[in-house]
Amino acid sequence: MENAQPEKGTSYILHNSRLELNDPGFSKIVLQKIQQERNRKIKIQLWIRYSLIMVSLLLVLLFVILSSNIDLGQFSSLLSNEDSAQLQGLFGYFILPLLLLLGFKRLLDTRIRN
Amino acid sequence: MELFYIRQIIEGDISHFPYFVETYKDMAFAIAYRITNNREDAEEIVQDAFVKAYRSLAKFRQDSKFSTWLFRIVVNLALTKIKRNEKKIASDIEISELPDNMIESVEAMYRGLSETEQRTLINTALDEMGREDRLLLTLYYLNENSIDEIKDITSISPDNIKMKLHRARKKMYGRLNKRLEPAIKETV
Repeated sequence: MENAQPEKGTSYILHNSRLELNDPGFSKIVLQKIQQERNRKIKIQLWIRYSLIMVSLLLVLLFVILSSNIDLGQFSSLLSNEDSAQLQGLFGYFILPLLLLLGFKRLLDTRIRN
Repeated sequence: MELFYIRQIIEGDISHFPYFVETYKDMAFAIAYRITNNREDAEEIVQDAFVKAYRSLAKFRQDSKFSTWLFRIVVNLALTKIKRNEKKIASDIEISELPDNMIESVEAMYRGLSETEQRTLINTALDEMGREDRLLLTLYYLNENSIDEIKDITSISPDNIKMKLHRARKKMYGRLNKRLEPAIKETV
């Protein structure tokens, strides 16, 4: 915003003290910093959003496990018991959702990184 | 137009931000420089001020001009910077104020100088003055901010601003007179 030179008075005297930022790349630097700031903000928002999703999924998983009456002690009994139905139950109710959860987390991590 | 740009930026379109940088960078730089008296520091402060302005843009209440709000950020950042760097700078050199009746003759002498001489003289005079005086003179006479805007930028009361400006102006003329007097004597 360039002002015309005043004709007299203090403004006239001070006109020559006008300073200019003679750096052609200044706007670019500021914009780069703002872009970084923006990316940081977006990342934080994504992390918050995804953390909430992960917590919700974990709660759902916990609910499924608790409501299906699976005895977590089955892990140890598996070693001695070859009952495939029990193994199926454990896989269906516990391991499969866990794998899905881990896969989903990996997907989200990749998206945040990009 | 500025309000429209601000809304766009808040909504995520930062392509309008360079408009604000280009429009206000020199004035912001002048303010930062008059407080810090250091080019590099002033440049860094202006960069940080724009980033901070972007970060807080949603909080901008629009009851003042964007420039006023931005300059307040610049002043705060500059004051923080000098407080951090400053060891213990002695109070400003005592500068005598010039009586009103001599102001015109100083102005006449000043007019007789070349533009380069004028620039050197006024910048030296300002450098020798206190930082608050320099800042107020820059805001009022150079950036053409109103007393109310200066109040928002510096948090000094309007009455105090008027009084300080009056004294700063006289001090500036006193400083100029001191530097111009020997030159005048030489030519006589």
